[in-house]
Amino acid sequence: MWAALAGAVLLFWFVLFLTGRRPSADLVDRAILREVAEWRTPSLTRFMRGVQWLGDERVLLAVSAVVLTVAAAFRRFRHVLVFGGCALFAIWLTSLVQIVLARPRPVNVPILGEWDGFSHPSRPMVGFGLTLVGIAYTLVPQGRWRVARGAEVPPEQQRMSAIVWVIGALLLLLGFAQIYLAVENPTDVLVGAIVGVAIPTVAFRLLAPAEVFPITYRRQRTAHVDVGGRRGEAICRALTEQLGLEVVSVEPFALEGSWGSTPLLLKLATDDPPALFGKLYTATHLRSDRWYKLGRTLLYGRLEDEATYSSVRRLVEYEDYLLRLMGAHGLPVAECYGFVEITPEREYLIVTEFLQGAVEIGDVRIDESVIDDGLAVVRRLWDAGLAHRDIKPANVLLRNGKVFLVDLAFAEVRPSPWRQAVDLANMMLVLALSSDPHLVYARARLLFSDAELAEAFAATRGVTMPAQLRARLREDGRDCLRRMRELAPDRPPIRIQHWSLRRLGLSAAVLAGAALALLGVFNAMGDIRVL
Amino acid sequence: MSSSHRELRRRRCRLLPLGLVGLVVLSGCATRYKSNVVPDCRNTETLVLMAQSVPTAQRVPCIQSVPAGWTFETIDIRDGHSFFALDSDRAGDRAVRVTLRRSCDVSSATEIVSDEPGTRRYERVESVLRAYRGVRTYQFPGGCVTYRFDFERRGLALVNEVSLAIGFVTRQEVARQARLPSL
Repeated sequence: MWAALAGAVLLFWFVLFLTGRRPSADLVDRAILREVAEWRTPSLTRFMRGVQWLGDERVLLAVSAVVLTVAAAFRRFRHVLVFGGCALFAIWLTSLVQIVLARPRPVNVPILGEWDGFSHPSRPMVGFGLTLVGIAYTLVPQGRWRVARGAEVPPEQQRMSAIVWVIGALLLLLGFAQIYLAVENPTDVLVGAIVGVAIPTVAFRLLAPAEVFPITYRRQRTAHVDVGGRRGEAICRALTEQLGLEVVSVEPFALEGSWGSTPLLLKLATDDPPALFGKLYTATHLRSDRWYKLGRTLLYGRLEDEATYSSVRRLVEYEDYLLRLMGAHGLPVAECYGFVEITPEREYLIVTEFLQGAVEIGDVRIDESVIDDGLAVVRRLWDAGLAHRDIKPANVLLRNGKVFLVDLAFAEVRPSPWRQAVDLANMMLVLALSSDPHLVYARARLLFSDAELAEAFAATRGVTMPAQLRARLREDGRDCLRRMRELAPDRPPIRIQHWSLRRLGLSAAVLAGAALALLGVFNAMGDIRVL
Repeated sequence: MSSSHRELRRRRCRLLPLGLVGLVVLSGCATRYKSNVVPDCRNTETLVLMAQSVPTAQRVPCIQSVPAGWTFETIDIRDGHSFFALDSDRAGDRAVRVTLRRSCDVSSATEIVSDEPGTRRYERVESVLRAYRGVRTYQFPGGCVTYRFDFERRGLALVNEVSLAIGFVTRQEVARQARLPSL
């Protein structure tokens, strides 16, 4: 409906533009203004002047700044961009139409309120409408106040949202005040309200639809998506149709250890097995992965094989391949059941065996046999020409005294010796957290040479360790890394700050992009209003 | 792919070209129509709005003709005052700023014979050493107009160019041009 109204307004402007006739105080506008002016009383005038405050640019700017700050605090960056873009576009469009049509303020009725510039379309109505609708789409979750709409919602549930009534009432109040004070003509107010509501409504529905980007105030990481509702149903359907699995429930599982996907527990209708483990990858994860790798490249240089994935499909295909490859080399990983497509190129779910009864290695004390098993896993990785690249407590599980590796999304085939050395150091640190650094080092000497151990700790520092491992080491307080380095033979640290043409180019491009963006924002703020 | 995603993609595909065409057309309008708001003495809409900004003012300042080397820079019209500025290729950006108000403070200015009928003229020269800076004020029933000169160089000729470029129209004349009984 709003797109149609916006289309009607555009047509109206186009006709005025083509015919060269400006809507200078037509008969209807004058008649309404004269009629409303008859109702003027000193107290009502005072009240209406107060109401004008709703459309004050400084007030709207302050409210918009608060809305954008809250949205950014809840990491709704898409909403921030859409709202900001709508505001800039609306300012530009309004000032443009104002100078093209150049309609003066109402004549022959005393103007009692404040105004600024030409009259058509009403700038306060555009700004107020845009701010109210922006608040609704950016801050109000779908529910009692904002009812879901769309083709999927049954007709009996498609009632008017409470927020629509509130916005409508406030717009009516400001619109009436503008007409009462004869600051603007009724057509200016009407067109202003349509423009102010239509721009954000169309933009948010197209670019940040609530069904894809819901507003929620539950604290969650961006990597974790909601698996209830229609997405949950789609997952069950896809598992049945594509893998022949009859799933009875899909539940988030061990979210705290996962940063790059949404881990799920898939309960099956059968007893053998009763449950499987799934990892849901979405386009959001892919984008996060790209930003993360770009940040690392700028800060540290491009570490080995930190190329980004071209699509979600490639990411999930790669993990599926690595799971099967490691399984084929006899490495202790969960059995892979393949992956399913939820939404082409946007959402995929990889399914593996659920390691029933397994615990995170960081949650238990371990003995020599477990330490040996963990170190042997690294030796087998080396022998197979593989590297895990994300060895941290959450990715090393223990079941019946046997170590399992999970989360192979970062794994690599034919890694460099440096990368293999980092894997060894990280595994030793993980094992040391659950036992004793001296014991781990002593057991490691049985499988690895002194030179290999020296290289491992010369290669390892903060940036080469996963964030969770760094956090656990800090919490532990024993400074396991320093102790291990003291035990290992002396070797100069291996430099990881590699400067390359690519890194220099990327740094320059990012700096230039940031400078241009800042310049663009300042220019937009200063110049977008022609009047 | 779910039906909602397909529908979303279809809607985007339909609206994107329309939006792009609209933006291109509107950008063209912006370039062409900035001159629409120049307070030319024959530009009725702008003069009506300026008259509305100071409802008591019996005269409204306007640009009679833009001398060579001068360009219209900006305009700001709101209740209580109207303002416009001209750039000069010799005197600099915003070399002269013209403001219409209800009243002006002329206590530190000197009254001289006015070159505009029906007005009283006051001059206050602030600097003539390296650059010319000063304020000229015209007072008339219900309002006043100030010309603030801020030249990057000295030049009586430039001041004369401004004097010839900017003139006044009466409120009645503006109403007559706009075909309004009164304003």
